[in-house]
Amino acid sequence: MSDQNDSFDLNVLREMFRSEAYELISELENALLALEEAPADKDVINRVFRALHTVKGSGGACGFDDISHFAHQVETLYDAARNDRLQITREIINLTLAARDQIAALFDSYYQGRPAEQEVTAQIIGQVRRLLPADAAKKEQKPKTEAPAPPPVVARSATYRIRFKPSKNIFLTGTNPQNLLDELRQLGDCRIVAQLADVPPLDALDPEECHLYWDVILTTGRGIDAIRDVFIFVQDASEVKIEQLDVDGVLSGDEEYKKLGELLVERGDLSLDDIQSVTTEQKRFGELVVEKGLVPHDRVEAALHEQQHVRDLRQQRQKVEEMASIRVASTKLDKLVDLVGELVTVQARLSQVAAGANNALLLSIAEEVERLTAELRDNSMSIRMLPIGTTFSKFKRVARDLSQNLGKSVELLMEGSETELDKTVIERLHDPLVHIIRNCIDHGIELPEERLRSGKPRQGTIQLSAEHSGAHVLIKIADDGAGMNGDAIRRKAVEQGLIATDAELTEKDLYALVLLPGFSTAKEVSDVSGRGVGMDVVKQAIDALRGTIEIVSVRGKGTTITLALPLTLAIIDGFLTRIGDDHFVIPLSLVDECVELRHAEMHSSSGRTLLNVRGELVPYITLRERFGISGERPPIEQVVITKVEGLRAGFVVDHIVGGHQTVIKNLGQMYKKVDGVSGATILGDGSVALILDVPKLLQGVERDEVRA
Amino acid sequence: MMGIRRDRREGEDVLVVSGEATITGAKELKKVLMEAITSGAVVHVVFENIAEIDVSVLQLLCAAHRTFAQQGRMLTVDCASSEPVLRLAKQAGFLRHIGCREFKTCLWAEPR
Repeated sequence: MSDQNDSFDLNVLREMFRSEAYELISELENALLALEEAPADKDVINRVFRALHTVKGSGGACGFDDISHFAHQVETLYDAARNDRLQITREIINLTLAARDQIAALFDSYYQGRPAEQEVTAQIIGQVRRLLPADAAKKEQKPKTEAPAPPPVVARSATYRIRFKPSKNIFLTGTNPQNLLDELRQLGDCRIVAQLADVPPLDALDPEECHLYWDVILTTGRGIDAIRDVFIFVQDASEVKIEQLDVDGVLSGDEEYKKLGELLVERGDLSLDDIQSVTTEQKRFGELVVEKGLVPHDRVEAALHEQQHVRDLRQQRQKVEEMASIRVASTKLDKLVDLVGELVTVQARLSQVAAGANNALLLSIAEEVERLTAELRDNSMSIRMLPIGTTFSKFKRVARDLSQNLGKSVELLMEGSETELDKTVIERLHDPLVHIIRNCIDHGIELPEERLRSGKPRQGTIQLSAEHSGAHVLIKIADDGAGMNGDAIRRKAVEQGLIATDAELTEKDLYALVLLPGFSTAKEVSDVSGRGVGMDVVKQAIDALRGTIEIVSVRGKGTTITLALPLTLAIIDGFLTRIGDDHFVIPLSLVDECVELRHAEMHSSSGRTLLNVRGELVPYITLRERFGISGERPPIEQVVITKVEGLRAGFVVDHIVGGHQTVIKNLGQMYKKVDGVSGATILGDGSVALILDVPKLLQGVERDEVRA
Repeated sequence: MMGIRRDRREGEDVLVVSGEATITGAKELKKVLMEAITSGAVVHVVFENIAEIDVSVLQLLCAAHRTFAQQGRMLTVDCASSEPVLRLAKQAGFLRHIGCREFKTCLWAEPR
């Protein structure tokens, strides 16, 4: 029974660890890619070490003994590196990336039942041992049972102010004070300021005496005894003062930590009278007290370090608090959004009934329900939002591996990683983005020698950025490569019968040809791209997300691909209109204004219908004609003017109903290819309204514009 | 063992410290610094091939800098070009934002 319970607990534990495990290997990958940029940076080395250490500790605690052991072996490399016994090389980074992939494969084998090649683990461990410095390798070979890595200590850590004044004879006793400081540093986050005020002039100095002392601010989870242990052999002859700073949560508050003056008084460096004597002067307090000789500059320095340390600590804690979250299965979230969608539909029905019932009480209840539903909708949608950086960071590895394979040098820069997008959109965006980035590296970025010949830096750049634009997120992938060859694209399109020889195309339409199925101008088919399969799949994926793709390219300068994606695929603010008995929804984010249209005002020029709006000629589409709706047109129609990518165009409808929370329902398979409609929604009375695909409808108008 | 070489470069004294710059060679370094004070020239301390360094040497340099400053003389110490020296100065908390005001200059003030 107990065994059964143990195995149940372990399974529960493993399930709880699942997301964290994949986050850890993703963090490990990011840290390694950062290390590649700065192989000597101790902070980054520590970051890699921490990631491996946590995989080891948490993996061990969840019973993944093979992963824990493997991570431990690899971690040894970084332990040696952080102690200056090993220099990080490209070989070590490549090996650790391979180890990271193997750890991922081992997790996959547990969680997804995919078989992992166990011999890879042994191969990597063999290579790790070969790279280790002799002493570390020896240590590693000794069998030992190591306790699992301690859990993170952030929550239980405390901050201490330490003053360490060694005896003058400390050098002669063979104790190096630096070693004690190093030991303190190993206990946690530490700031050290050497106090030099007691150092005499050269002629009076006995160089074998120590006149230095140190002020230290340390945040550690190891407790005050661990600090005392550091000084255990020198405490009798030295002055060691340890004070805990964050008693009663003083470091967790929102208000500003103590002012410099307060700190100096608290630390015993300044009297209250001294503070009063200088506070009337308009100068920086620290400079002032030093200038007036009230406090040695070293003491001010130490107090400033304490202030900064606490600020950093608070920031870290805030981050931890922000990150404090519960993990919920995404299916539960999907269900929640579905239910909110249903609620929105019922609420619309309630509002409609209330509007017709002539009952003030019912109307006020309906309004209240409407307000709460809108709030609930926004909240549930925001739960599904994730920063796009979670996806972006995966591309660094793609870019690195591919550019190395192709002998190119490419830097992937990212901007706007914090931009949030619906989880489903992010998940479905991964493959198209990988394809675009691979294309940029394969076709866009030139070989280093070629780049140098054309006066470009040796290393190519791909800039991946995300930003909000109304109800959309714009994702741009811009490279500084060779750009697209417009003539070649045209020739190929004519060859393939996609366009007529004399077809007049805008630049945008010309580059859009590469999004057609089977289109490729690559002379050779490579492993990476050039088979003409890909960009059309990218287009399909983006279409399915109700997004758009735009390509801008300058020969010799580079290409920018912009994806405009809706923030969410579930519920949008819509603008409800009516033609005859049919309802249509226009996404509210695209609506610019509404004007009336009388028959007398209708103009036609070169077959295009134009409307004069305060002197500006705006093309319009009569939806009744576009969708073949029969019946009489009212004498005064309504034009909803929309704006997409700077182009204003109107849609003529019979009546405007008004704002409408639109729960998007997909059209069935049968209607998937209907142009100009992106989905449907259910109205309060149970009838169906179609959601207009405004960008698609406007493409026709745009083409007319060019011809005109 | 600490190596100390005294060069004259363009009319200025250059003390080249190398090897093990630790307490074992501190007395010798003090002696050379004291001699340099009397030489009447600008003195630069540079580090070459430092195998080891401890805080007693940094303390010594600090004391020398104070004495030079009091006499209106100039002593410079090139910590930045020696990785072990810079690392020790950082880790032992010597580098600082506010340098010594009383001596106008400070060996350990980080550029703002």
